[in-house]
Amino acid sequence: MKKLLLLIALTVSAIANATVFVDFEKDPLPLIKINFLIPSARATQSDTENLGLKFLSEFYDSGTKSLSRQQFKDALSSYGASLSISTGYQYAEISTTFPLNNGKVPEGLITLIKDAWENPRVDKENFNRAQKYLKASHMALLDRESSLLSLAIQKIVAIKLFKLFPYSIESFDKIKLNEIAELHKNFYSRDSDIWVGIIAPENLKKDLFKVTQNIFPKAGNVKEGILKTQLKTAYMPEQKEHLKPTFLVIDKKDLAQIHYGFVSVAHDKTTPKTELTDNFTYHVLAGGGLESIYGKRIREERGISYVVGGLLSSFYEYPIVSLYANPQRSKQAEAFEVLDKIVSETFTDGKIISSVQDSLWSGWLLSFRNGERQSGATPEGRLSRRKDIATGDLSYELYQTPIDDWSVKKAVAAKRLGEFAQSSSLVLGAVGDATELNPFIKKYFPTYNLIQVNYKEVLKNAWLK
Amino acid sequence: MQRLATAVFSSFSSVLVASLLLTSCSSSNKGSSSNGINYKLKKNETLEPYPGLKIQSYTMANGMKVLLVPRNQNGTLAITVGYSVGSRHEEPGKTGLAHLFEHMMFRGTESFPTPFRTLSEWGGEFNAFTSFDQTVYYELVPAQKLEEALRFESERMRKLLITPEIFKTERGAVVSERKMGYEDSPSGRAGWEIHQLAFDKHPYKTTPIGWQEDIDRASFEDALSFYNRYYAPNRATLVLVGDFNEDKALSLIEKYYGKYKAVESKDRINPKENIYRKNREKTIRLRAQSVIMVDAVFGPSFHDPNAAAEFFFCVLLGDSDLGYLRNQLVETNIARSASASCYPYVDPSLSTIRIVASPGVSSKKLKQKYAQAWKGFIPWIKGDRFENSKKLFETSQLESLRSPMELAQTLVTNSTAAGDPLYTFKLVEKIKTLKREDIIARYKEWKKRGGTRIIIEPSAKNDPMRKGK
Repeated sequence: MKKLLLLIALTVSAIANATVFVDFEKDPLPLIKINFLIPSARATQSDTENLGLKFLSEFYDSGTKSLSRQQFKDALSSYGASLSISTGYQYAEISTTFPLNNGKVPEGLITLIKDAWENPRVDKENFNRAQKYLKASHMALLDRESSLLSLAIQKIVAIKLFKLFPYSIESFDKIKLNEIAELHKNFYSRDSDIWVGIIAPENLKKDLFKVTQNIFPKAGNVKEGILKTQLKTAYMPEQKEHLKPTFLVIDKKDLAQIHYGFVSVAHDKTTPKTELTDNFTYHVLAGGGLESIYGKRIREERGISYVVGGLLSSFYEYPIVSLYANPQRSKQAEAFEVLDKIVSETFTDGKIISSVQDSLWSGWLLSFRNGERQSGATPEGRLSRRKDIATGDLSYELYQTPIDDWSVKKAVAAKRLGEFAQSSSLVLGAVGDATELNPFIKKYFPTYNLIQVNYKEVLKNAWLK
Repeated sequence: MQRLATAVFSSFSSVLVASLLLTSCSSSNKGSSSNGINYKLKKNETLEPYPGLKIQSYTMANGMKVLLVPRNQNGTLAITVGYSVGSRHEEPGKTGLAHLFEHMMFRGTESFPTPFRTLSEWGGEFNAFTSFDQTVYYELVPAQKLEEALRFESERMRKLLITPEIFKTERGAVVSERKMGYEDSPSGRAGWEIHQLAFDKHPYKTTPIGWQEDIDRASFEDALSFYNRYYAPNRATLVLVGDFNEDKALSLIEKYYGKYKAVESKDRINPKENIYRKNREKTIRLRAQSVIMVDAVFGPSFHDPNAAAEFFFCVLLGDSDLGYLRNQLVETNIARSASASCYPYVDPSLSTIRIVASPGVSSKKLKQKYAQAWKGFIPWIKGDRFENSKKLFETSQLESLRSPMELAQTLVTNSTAAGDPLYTFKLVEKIKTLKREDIIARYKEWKKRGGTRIIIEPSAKNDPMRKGK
């Protein structure tokens, strides 16, 4: 960690229109990797626009106005280069890796990348292909119960809590080609405020700055450094109302396992202290891994589920904690007993937080520091971390806070998970045979608002109206 | 572009095995380390598969192989231990035991009673996987944990603390893993069924997860006997990559592993399959959204002279981005995905093509379009495209060299499964010399070998997994 910070300190300079993080290897491979992040100019505002971002990623992978996909891919591989361009609600990302040509950056390749970014193949033929392909990929979720559960819970949060417009399976047939063309302009018009990450031998620095200016002529000054503030993101929704505690049942017969878990959304936008302490609470005590209390109870002591774990993630920038397991169908009774205990201890009486030991806390700190060290072990890891900072990833604040100052007492005093994300915003969910699941829900979660949906209906949105 | 990868069927997670360019092998410096101190470890040679990448190779008196790559890795260290034991070593009626035992290896030793907790507190990443031919354990830890990590790995090689109760609990987790990966997963089920149908006699017939009945029947005594026989230094390779001092590492390895004795055990010679035989096809009905088709022929073993050509044949055919089948079937909306895998094994296993149809595309139409596509493959690999694909393949292999964990896993799997620490490096070198004619030869050979096909047909109900022919 200290070594990494030293490296950063040496490379900080003024933020320019295009900011470049360059990682020079000590024993460089004859390879260059470049990542460009281009923020979106505005928020997507409808279900079809949200879906349009997926279409746009497909279009960027489909050649250019003058080259078919196959011609474009053949041209890239003649340089031994890989290229991907993807889009999300906050920013577009261009990523390329290529070998040096006689120690130099191949100019023809840069022209190709520029063409792919400026002139994606947004035409009717490509639209029809992408429409069928993306719809087929979306339907594949019906065969993956954990993904289906996650999608359904996200829809509840988006529609009920934020009044947003997640796309549905019907959106694939409603979307229009011109909407996607507009989205491209949305990104392309913002190439004056980009972030660039580069892994390269040191002698190529100037050449690579020129590459950046060549692909993004409007970028203006290209300066080496790290972003101290996040890229300007276009959109941050407000929570419109509180959720009632909800239990979602996705009815799917004939499964050998059930899949269940919960999601809880923070009330407010994140602040550094709550984030850190709640991350800790969640990670160490609840479901952060096999060493967690949840992992211990469901896997190590009872052996009823292979997968156990969870995630601290975000919905836009609201922190979300989620837990997931897939117990055997024949062990549903035990599985619900554990879930009930975890939910009540985590959200109601705070027993988990009060049982924190200093050794666990110091173990987590060590784990966190080593995680940082490990991600700094390769240039790809370092570049990825810098990207997280630039995009305002949840870990951003961790770089700003001296973690040696934290203590378990402060963590307990600052927040507990039950205050960070109260049970009122809790959505529990399970995939399985509804006739078998419902008696357990009645027994353990009688006050929860029950929503039941057939698994095939999850891809639509009508079940949430 | 796909990288060289082991076929991992049962594991805490799957793992990519990377590889790189072979440029030279160098000197032998028997019996001493770089500073001239003598160890019981016998130094074999310094391997240098790529300029600047030096691998120090040693063998201990008890037969354990040691590969060391000391290099700056920002204070981190990758440790992998591979054992030459996989599902191919299981007795009939005791399938799944190798993988079940992999789970047991995380349940504690005398000094480390709670490994999950300990490894987490070190800030380590850790996991393991079991394949047909080998079982591999790996950790990425802070460099200062070198001694503790070696002590932990050495203790679980011969001094694992397990009880019948722990065995029972861990068996439950394995049952859950099997249900998730095979019974509830159309894709996993297809992978299971293709092996069941293709093989008659060889243990590759059953993928490492094993039969439910066998897992249920396995006893604690079976597990102990498996452990005592196979978890021995003479079946193991230890690899360290990252920030460590070579001499210190050697003395610690001697301290912790030198006390163990080799365990002699003769591996069964597995029966050979007839690779030139009539085609086989089976349809399984599952609650799936799309038709899945898996086509397979018997593929090469590690040291088959055609292994490199077969591997690259599958890259050209089934790469998820640039492969021919993507061009023919995915770009035309016949399929949602098309991939191919031809990784070699100790004995000939399966080279496979896997296609997931778009929703609404029938198995009949998929078969028809797939058969049409095959006819155009050779004209498609024109001179430039063939050479360019090799360049792109090389880039992807080269990139993987930076990661300490990827390098450590490559070396350990090369050593324990292929019997040569540089196996994949040599394979990549060979791929660079391939000619278009080599691929045409593999294409013709595919047609000669007996094909096996599994069709997963969407249905309202699942066909059960039943043991038997």
